[in-house]
Amino acid sequence: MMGSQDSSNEAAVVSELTRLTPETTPGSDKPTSETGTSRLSDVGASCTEPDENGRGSCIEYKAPDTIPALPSGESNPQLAAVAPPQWCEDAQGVVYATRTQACRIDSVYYETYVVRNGTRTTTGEANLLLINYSYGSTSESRIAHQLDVTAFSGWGDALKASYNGNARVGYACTKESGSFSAKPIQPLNQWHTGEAFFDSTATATGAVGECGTGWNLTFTNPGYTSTTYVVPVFRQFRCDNNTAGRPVPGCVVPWYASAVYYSRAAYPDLASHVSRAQASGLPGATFEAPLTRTTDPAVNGDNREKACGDAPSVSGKSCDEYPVASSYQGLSAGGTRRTFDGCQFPGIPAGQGPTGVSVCMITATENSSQGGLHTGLYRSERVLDKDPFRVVVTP
Amino acid sequence: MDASWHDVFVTEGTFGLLDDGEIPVHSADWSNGLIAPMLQGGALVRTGIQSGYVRVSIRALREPAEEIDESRPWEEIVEAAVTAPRNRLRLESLDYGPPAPDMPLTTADTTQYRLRVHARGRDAARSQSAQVPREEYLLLVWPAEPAPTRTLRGSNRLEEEEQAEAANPHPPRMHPAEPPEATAEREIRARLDEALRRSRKDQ
Repeated sequence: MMGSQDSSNEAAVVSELTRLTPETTPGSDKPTSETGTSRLSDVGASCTEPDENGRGSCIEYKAPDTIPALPSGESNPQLAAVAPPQWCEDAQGVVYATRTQACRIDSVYYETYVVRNGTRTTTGEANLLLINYSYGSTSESRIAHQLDVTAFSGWGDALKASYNGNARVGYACTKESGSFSAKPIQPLNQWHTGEAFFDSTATATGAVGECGTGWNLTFTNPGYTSTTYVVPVFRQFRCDNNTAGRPVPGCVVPWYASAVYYSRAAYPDLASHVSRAQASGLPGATFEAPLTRTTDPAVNGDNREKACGDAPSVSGKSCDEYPVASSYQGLSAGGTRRTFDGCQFPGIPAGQGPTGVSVCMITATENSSQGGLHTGLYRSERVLDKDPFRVVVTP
Repeated sequence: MDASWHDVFVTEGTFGLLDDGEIPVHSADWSNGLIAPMLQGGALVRTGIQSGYVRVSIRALREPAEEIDESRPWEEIVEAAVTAPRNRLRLESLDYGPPAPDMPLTTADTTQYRLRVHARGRDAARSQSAQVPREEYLLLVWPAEPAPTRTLRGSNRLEEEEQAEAANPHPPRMHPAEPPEATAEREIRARLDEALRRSRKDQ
């Protein structure tokens, strides 16, 4: 934070209402945060030089731990935008996402100052929250990035400011639309939304491209120079027209691991084998240890051959291997086989740990259904080579 | 090799005659050992190998195939009703999609078809993986009202598979077996898709 602060003038902040949408069903989404390297671009403070009257302004990204509880603010009934989901609350300073939605909440500090006789004095401050909410569709080459903005505290001249927004774009996308006209900072806790749409250029057959989107927020204030806050680029969506069996473009958050569900009621043999395999330490059940897809038929075939090439002949049954052959976690990556009681696979020991595969003879039609289930996931979720996915056993 | 033959990658013992790429596998009827029609669209063809490549030819007919194809010594021939609500039936590898550009398998007049599958070599590498095709399939498709599945040429293997399914049936389901959150997620996506479509209309 920059400059001095007159806490006696600071406006109180109370907030209960948010602009967020309650989930329709408990657990209706299972969003997760991005792991590994952040895709946030560098953020820092930006100050204008004082003008001839010695007045200037600054804008600064605030660390997530300074963000208070989400402030109140009536939803703007005129918004055409989609209200962000409730789980955006968890996305303070980090990206949370599902396969078709991504969210990040940032905090921004705006300051006005004056320099007189070489002394810099803060004349006002405002703290704002920004909700970056981006959504796409597995069957559309367009994504949306909307920005919900509210000021939740402030004092002095900073509260006389207004801000306007302009969307910006990068990577394999073009901007279709996106701006909002000047909105006053006051009253506090009033949400304003900018809605922007972007079209992927990765629409030709076989094309794959990322979409980078962002907003510039320009603060204007009578008597002060304007300053612009560059909202860190949001590069969460990958669009493609390269999903086998789905010859239309669409966009997804590629690092989000969607789930294929094995129902015990519908596929008892399959579910039994996979639940035991996962319990023995093999990956795939969680966001932390998902499987990753291979589209290489040689890897697929190698996985299959090493796991099931010597499978016994059992009437009505076929060899199931877990992790599945269409993943990079098969035996082509190394490791040994394990099996379980009742799997009718002689000469293979039990085993524990995250490497290797489990093999089991299961009902052949359940095994074939498994192939359909996985392909259905890969197509519907646009799971390309090296994308993560989860395998979840359900009742 | 006739240009109409395609090497198709097999996934877990199947390849597909899919309707617009959809795989409603929960609705598959596995009671026959060669064709598993999916009641919500398309069909899966059950192969001898579990993974790898088979050779497939497919032809669309205007009229029912009266004669049994004898261009090859087919070991098994089964025909079944296939529905195509999207009216876009295509030969597909489940993993890799259509082996060739679209072929006109459907007509504008109906969404009901008859599929006749001829197979040979299903025992050559049973349940194994095969990088070189050793099984061949001829698929004939023509418009037809729904009628029961019929085995025109049987085999011991077909009988075994039918008996195995009868002993441990997996009846077709009209809804996928999935948790409530998956259903809710679909509803959310429908809302987002609509918002994106609306943005196009507003242009």
